This record gives sequence, C-alpha cells and structure tokens, in this order.
Amino acid sequence: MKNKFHKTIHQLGDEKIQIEKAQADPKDFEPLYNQYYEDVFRFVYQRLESREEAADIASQVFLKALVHLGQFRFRNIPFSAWLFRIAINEIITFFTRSKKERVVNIETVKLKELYEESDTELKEERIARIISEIKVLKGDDLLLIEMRFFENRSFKEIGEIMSITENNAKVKVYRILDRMKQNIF
Amino acid sequence: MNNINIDRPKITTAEVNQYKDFQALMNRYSRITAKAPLKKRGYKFGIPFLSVVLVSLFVWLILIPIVRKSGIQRTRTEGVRCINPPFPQANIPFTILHIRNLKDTILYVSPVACIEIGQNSLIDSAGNPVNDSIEIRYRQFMNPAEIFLSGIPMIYDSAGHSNTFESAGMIEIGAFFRNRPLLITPEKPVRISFRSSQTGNDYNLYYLDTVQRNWVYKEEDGVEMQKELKFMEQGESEAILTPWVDSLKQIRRIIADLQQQKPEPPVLANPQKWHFKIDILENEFPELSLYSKTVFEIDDQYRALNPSHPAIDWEDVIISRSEKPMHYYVTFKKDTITAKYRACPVLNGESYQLAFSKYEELFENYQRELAQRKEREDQVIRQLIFRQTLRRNDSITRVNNSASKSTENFVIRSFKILNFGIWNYDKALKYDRVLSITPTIIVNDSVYHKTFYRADLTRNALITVNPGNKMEYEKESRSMLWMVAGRDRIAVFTAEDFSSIPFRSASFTFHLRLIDKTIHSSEDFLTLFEVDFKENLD
Repeated sequence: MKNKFHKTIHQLGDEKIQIEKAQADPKDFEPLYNQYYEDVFRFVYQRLESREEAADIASQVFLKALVHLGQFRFRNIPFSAWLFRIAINEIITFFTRSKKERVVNIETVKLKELYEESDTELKEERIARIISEIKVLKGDDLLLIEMRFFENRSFKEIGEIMSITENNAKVKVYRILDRMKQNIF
Repeated sequence: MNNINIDRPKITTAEVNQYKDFQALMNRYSRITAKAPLKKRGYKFGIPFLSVVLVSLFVWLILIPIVRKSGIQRTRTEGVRCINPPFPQANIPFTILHIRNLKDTILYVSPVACIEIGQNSLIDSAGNPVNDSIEIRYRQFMNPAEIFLSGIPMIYDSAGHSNTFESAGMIEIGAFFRNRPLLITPEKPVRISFRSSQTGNDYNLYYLDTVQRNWVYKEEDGVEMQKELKFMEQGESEAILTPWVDSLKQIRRIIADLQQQKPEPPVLANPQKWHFKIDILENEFPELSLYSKTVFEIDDQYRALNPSHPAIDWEDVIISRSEKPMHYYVTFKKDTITAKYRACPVLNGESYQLAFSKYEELFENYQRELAQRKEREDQVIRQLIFRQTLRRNDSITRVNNSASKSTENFVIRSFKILNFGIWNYDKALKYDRVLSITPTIIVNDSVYHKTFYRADLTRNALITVNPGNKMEYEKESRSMLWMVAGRDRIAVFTAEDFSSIPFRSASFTFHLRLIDKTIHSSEDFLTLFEVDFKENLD
C-alpha cells in the first residue's frame, strides 16, 4: 500500500505554495489544517489514553505550528514531519506536566509483525514477554518501535520526523530489536 | 513503566473530525498574537505597558494636533521598512564588472571583496545559462555612514519585536544581461568574501526580503574559520601567507589520514570456503569494528587449508594487514608449529545485514566528515588566493593605510548565496547598561520634530530615532547624531559633542550644527564622516 506520507515532487511543490500562502496570511492555514488534522490527531491518540486529551494536544500542535509558521523553512520534506515533531514535544510536555505514565497502544496483529521482524518463530506464550519489554522502552526507543511497527511508518518517514537519516532510523530500530531479543529469548 | 493498551477500539475518521475546529484554532491564535507584548514582558510589566499606551494616545490625540497647529516641522517615518536613500544623489555607487559565464570567475572588488562565480551558474528567468557578457553590480556598506546613504532599513522584525542591527558588513550584488536581472542556478551558489573590521563570530547572515520588507535569517556566522587571521602590517612580507600554507598542509594531512580510515563494506561469507573465528582487538584494527560477529574466510589463492590445522589447539595468533585490500595475514603458533594464512573477514545472514547497516552509517559519517574537511581545504585555498591577490591589488595601499591608523584586526567573512540582493552580517543591538534620554533637536535656533540618526561607531550601528521617541544609548559607545536638513544638507552633533552629555540625564537638548558643505555625492558625505564632520580640517 502506498504510504500517503510519501509525496511526489509536484505534491511537495503544491504544499510549499500552500505553506507560503499561510505564512503570508494565517487564514490560509485552513487547507493544511484540514489535510493534516486527522494524521496529527491519530499520532497523538496512539500515545494517549483519552480522546479528549488527544484533541487538546492536537489543537495545541496546530496552534504552535501556526504561531511559528514564519520560522518554518521548506526543505522538500512533507509538512507533516514538522507537525509530528511538534506533536512529539507536546506529548512529552503533557506527560511531564501531568506526571501520568506513558501509554502504548498495541494491536495484537501488529505485535505479531514485530515478532516476525525479529526473525523468530511465532509463539503465543512469548507475546507477554515482548509486551513486558515494550513496557520498559523509553524516549526515542519507544517512539521508533511505535512508529515502525504500530503505525507502519517507513524508515524514510521516521527519519524525517526524528530528524535523522533513513539509514540511521533503520540501524536504530534494529539495535532496539536486537536488545529486546536478547532479553526475550 | 509504560501503560499498555491492547486492541483498543479504533476511532473512525468521523469521530476524529468531531474534534476538528479551525475557527476555534484561529480564535486562540488571535488571542495569543494580540496578547504577545504583555505576555512577553510578564504580567508585572502590564501596568507600565498600559501607561505607555495611554501616554502614546495622549501624544497622538492631544499633543500632535497642537504641534500641527503651531506649524512646527514634522515628518513621520516610523514603520517605514523600504529602501529609502536620504540623499538619492549621494547613494553608494555600484562597482560594475563584466564577466563571461563560460568559465569559473573570481572577481576582486575594491575595497577588498572577492566574488566567485562558477561556470554557467548565472541563468535567465527561463533557467537557461547566459553565454554573453554579463554585468555584475556590487556595492558594500561597512559603516553607519554608508548604511545611512544606502537607505536600507536596519530594523529586524522578529515575532512582533523590532531590533536594530549592528552590522559586521552588508553588501548588495546583482547580475544583469542587457539590463535584465539574472538568477543563480541552485547547484552553483555564488561565493562572496569581504573584509570586516568587526572580528566577533556572533553575527548572523541575513537577506533583505524586499517584498516582505524584512530581514530573513539565513545562517550563523561563518567567520569562525578565518578568526585567527590578524591584520597584516603594511610592508609585511610573504610571512603573512605562511599560516595559510601551514594550515593547508595540515588539512591535507588530515584528509589523507581520514581517507586511510575509509570504512569498507562487509563481505558476505562464501559457504564453499573454510572459515575460522578469532577475537578482534578493535583498538588495533578499528576498520574491523564492524565485525562484532566476524568469521575469517581463508583466501585459498594465497594458501589452501591444511586439513590437520583445524584440530590443533593453537597457543598464539598474530594478525597483520596484508597487501590485498581487506585481507589479513593470520599466523597461528603452537610450540614449533607455525601456520600462516591470508583471510578476509566475512559475515553471515543477519549479522551481515546489521553490519551492512552499520557500514552505511559509518560510510555516511565518513563522507560527511570528508566533505567538511574538503570544504575547509577549499576555504584555506580561497584565503591564500585572496591574500596573494590582495598584495598585488592597488587597493591594498588604501586598506593598509586606513587599518594602520586604527591598528584594528580584521576578518574575512565568506558566504554562499543563491539569490542576488542585499546580504548583511548582523546581530541585534543590545546594550548592557542602556541609558535613555528625551531628546530635543535644535538647528539654528529652530526646534525640529523630525527623524534623526544616531551612529554608534563602537557597535557599527545606525539607529533611527523617530520624533517623540526616547533615544537609547550606552555611555561606553562612541556616538554621533545627524539629521537630514533639506535636499542636500546635513546637520550634525559630533562624537566629541556627544561625549559631553551629562551622565544619566533624563533629557537633553542637542544643538545640531548645519554643515555648510552640500551633499552631491556619497564621497561628500563619507569624507565629512571620516573627519567627524569637522569640515574645516581639509
């Protein structure tokens, strides 16, 4: 399935024009808001317990994006990568302020994908051990595993969101998997 | 510890869209942007801020109509951001040069600037390289007087706050073919280097966006590399070039060392061949650090495996590099038996995949570092060429004379551009111990309510003071004031006069002297500026 994050040169060009319009007049931010609201909401909700909290944070993400839009510089990277970076910061701020524990939402189907990715034969009784490993993942490690396996993001997209190279994202994910594997098996 | 939810019910698009509210977002945005000035200063400054607003309203509604009725001269220039030379007849002239686009060109412009234009880097609006004679127009503004004559605004609006710039040098450049402006192809930026008397490395590069009427931040100060360069005394010999020659040798040594450490890609094991494992001392063989799970594959072109050797429990193993790339001599010893093989480190399956990923990461780092070193090498070569040319250039005499007087150091600021226009190395003017004064401007016994300019000679800044505003300054900085007094006249308050202002005065009456000399050219003004407007010195 084609990842909607990936854009052609023409699409990026159109997006650039849209961003420039919004930089000139904040009212022109609406098409970007409409285009990315659901992506940002889902990105945030994936890491939260409640929909209302997710809506608050998503709203905060777009507000910050709008306030700082003048500083945004187009570098042939989808605008959504910038929004997701803001979202990551807002999520971190939320958990720091609220002193709540970080939430990880897992679909068992995708957990199995992660299991297979670690090149090991699927066995149901080990799922609990993987979950216990995910429970203790922190910071960027957790983000990388979530984005790769629970959100099906490509390494290219992960790299752009995390401001690292595609290859670096790949290496980091494999290293985390390797560490998890050592503890599980 | 993270909270884990498994198989939470999915949220539909319709449900997500229930939370979508662009109007609410815009309302919040409007509230924030409207509150910014109070918020930025903190609540405790709210009342003084309101006081300022009330006083401003009082001035606008009550005082200004009175002033208008009284016939006192008044010119409003507040908020003006466009380029507006005060004396159009005395604008700083462009140096005109002609080049051909067919080869790399280095232009040396007096006083002391260098423009490097790559082959075919100048294109027309259709994107085609121009192969005929191209006109390059260049001028620079290095002091408050030149900035003043240019009429280029030195105010930078950032997030609703205005800052005045202090400048480490500003230039304007354009390229034209038959009077039509040309563009720079993105692959081949034009490099500009100029001499700057401001030796600090905390200036940033800005581009003047004449459409948005604001400065656009481009990059941090690129002067760091040239910082160590000190001004050469007049008559100094080739010794001035020695540090740059040494620097070039050093950077080339570093590049050669780096190239020796180029990471090699891992090799996939050949199942048809013999393999053995040994522990690697990574300090001695850093290029093998990729191979945490390495096996060595015997190179049977050098020697085939002796079938009795695998059974021996060897006591000593010596590894050394062989002449064949990525191959090593491995010598096994036990008592009097010695076995020497040539082997290549190889990897299997998943280990290979991981090693390859790590190799790609290392190779990317290697390429990045190599590119940085090459860029540095390029800079040093440019500095050498620049200096050699300076010594030959007639302008050197003028540079030496002026700089010898001030015994200043200088640096070369060098940057690449993809747009023609006005570029400036600046930082926001901030005083540690700011003094504020209410000025009254008097020229020939008449009070003027008109924009005047304060040149901060220490900070190399030109501050525009609009009528009704207080003037801020710093006692430690050397300043002078001037005001446009007609089409070709200037009234000044010299640096010597300025130093006589009583410390911490709340208000002061500045008696500006109307200069007899009329301003017909930039030279007229700059000559007066150089002698602190003491026109009788000639």
